[in-house]
Amino acid sequence: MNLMEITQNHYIILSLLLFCIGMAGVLIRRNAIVIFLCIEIMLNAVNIALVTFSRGLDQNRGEVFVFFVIAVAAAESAIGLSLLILLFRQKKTLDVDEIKSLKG
Amino acid sequence: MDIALIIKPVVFYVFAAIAVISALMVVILRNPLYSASTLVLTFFAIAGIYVLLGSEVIAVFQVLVYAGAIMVLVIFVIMFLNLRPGLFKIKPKHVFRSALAVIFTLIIFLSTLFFLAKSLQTYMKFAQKGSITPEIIETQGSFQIFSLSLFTEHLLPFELTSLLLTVAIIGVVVLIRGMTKPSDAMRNNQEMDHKKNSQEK
Repeated sequence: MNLMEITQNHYIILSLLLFCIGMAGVLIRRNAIVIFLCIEIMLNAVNIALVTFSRGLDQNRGEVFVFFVIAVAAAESAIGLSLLILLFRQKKTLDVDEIKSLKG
Repeated sequence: MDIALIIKPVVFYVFAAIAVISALMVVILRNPLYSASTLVLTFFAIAGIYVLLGSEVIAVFQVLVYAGAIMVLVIFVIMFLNLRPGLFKIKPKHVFRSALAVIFTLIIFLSTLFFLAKSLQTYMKFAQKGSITPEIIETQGSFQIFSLSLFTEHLLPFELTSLLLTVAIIGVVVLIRGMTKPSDAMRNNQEMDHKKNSQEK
């Protein structure tokens, strides 16, 4: 792979790197808000891959799909953050290790 | 060597490095507010990557919706919750679990890289190509092509998006208003502050 010529592979590897960073963040961090932020990183990584394939295959569908992903992410962030606020009011913590009411 | 041939890789590597490093900072930094601030930087760098890919529409949406709306909401919530520093302490079991998580992520990364290296080139070679070539984008502009496709071919999903956003707004209002009265939460916070002050004394 030639380093000075940017091909689709570069974008896909960047997307993979960002996705793995987000996944590691979800697994490592215990703060619910930071887990939420890491999920946003993963969504963005997937968006990069979608746009890359859309450009590589001379199509438009990937971009339209990314548009819908962004709209869904906006709705998800609104609902998720209000759930976090309610959780903090009930439990007085956002540490996901402390929130174990559903533990069988 | 032509200057334009050098600029594109340099811009790509700069944006990619900013995106990856600031994404790492989101995971590493302890304060959620710092994490959110570096995530804004990640989103701007990813918008730059979209421009390099030749899809300015998505770059604009990225800056407007992600770096603008969503991150303002997140930072607002973090400040609203007023998380005290020292709320998240490192425990020995966390170190073990983090090491396990990093190893798991590395396995996923390397195996995906392996399969990509094997199959990506053949897929791109044999996949069915569309009609929107870079030349067409250059003459018509990516905004026009995107809008035409969105408002003709994908009109129904677009309308459903508005329904989704309406449901989200109603859901948020119901969630916040239905569970607790605002005065309860304020009193709880005051009680917590009072307890903390008395403990410090």
